[in-house]
Amino acid sequence: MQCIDAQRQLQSLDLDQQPSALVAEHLRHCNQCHDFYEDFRLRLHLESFAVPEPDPGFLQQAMKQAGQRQHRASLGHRAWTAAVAASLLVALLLVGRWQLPEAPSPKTAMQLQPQATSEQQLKEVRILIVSDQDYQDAHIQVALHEDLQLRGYDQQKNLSWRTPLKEGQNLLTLPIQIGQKGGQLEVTSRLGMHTHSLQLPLARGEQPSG
Amino acid sequence: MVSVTSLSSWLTPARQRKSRFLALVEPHSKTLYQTAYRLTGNQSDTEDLIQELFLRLYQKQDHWVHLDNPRPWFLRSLYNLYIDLYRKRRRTAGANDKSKQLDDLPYQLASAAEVTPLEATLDSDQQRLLKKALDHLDAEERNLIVLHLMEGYSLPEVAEIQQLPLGTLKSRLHRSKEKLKKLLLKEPFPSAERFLKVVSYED
Repeated sequence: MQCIDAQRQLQSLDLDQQPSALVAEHLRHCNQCHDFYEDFRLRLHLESFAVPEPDPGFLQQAMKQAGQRQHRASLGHRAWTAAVAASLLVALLLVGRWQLPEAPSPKTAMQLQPQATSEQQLKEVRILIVSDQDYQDAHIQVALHEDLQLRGYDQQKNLSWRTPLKEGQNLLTLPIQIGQKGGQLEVTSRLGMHTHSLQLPLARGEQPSG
Repeated sequence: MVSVTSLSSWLTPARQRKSRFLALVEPHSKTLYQTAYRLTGNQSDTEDLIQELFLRLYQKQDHWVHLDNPRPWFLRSLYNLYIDLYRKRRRTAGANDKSKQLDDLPYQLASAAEVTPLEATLDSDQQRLLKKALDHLDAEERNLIVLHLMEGYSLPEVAEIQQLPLGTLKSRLHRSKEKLKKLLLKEPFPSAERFLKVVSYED
């Protein structure tokens, strides 16, 4: 029997059927057809794996819940953020208020660039994060104290993101809504082993001081 | 001139993040569900895995939102979550299942606790045997079989998802395939007879 004939016959079988005596005899002596038959049967087995349809609405519901669960998780971060902020204040005093001086082997530096544009209560605060290398997973936190709010994030006082940073200058523009009392904006970056923090008092109708 | 990278893209209000997430993930959701089902073999674990996956994708949106084709990223995340589940299951069940002789496999039909009534009705003996065989693969072996042989992803695509060199992938896939063949195909008797024997064994 020729291999081509054996393989043609094998391909017509399903998993419950056995090859004819003639083909079985050929398989005993032909490694190529034997391997072909094994691969073919494995494929039949795998094709028989039926996946049921998901419950109606499950996928939509799961996608929507992901956003809601994330929102709740970020609210839970507040106490932790406050504890970290207290210790960062010390680091800030050591390195200067708005700008890092020639600190010993600084990996990154952060500068705040006061923004002149003011639209009623809205101020755009531009923060320049200077990085000495690419970072895949920088952690950036924004804390809004007292009467400050980030536009689009109603009532959220602490926000955090993980983001890649490029080597060089990375610009972050924060649209801050300033209430009657004003308040303090605090931005913290964690890049690898290094943490840097900035604090900036903001008041209505004034330029950032410092 | 100094080049400045804008970080504004991730400063997106929550509502926009949600709608963007839904728009970008929805086209892949059914495929991800299918893959998750093939990895876990049951609906309950699949749903848990998918919920965890969506949460992770939402949290890591900024990592994949700029990608032209985020599916490899999604599948990689799914695999990582599946590994966690697999390890948890192994810790819970102990190593007993894994240490059983391969010859025992034909007698190991799924226990009633592992499948829903609907699944039990839908599953043929053949399918239950296949699920059991897949359960004897480790997490990576099963993932390779699922992605390449069941879902039809090409070798370069699987290499990207698994972050493996092509040569390494080929040898691991070959090993996984041979293991599965050994589990499924090296039978002392045809499957129909085998299940008759199971009935008499349990009687």
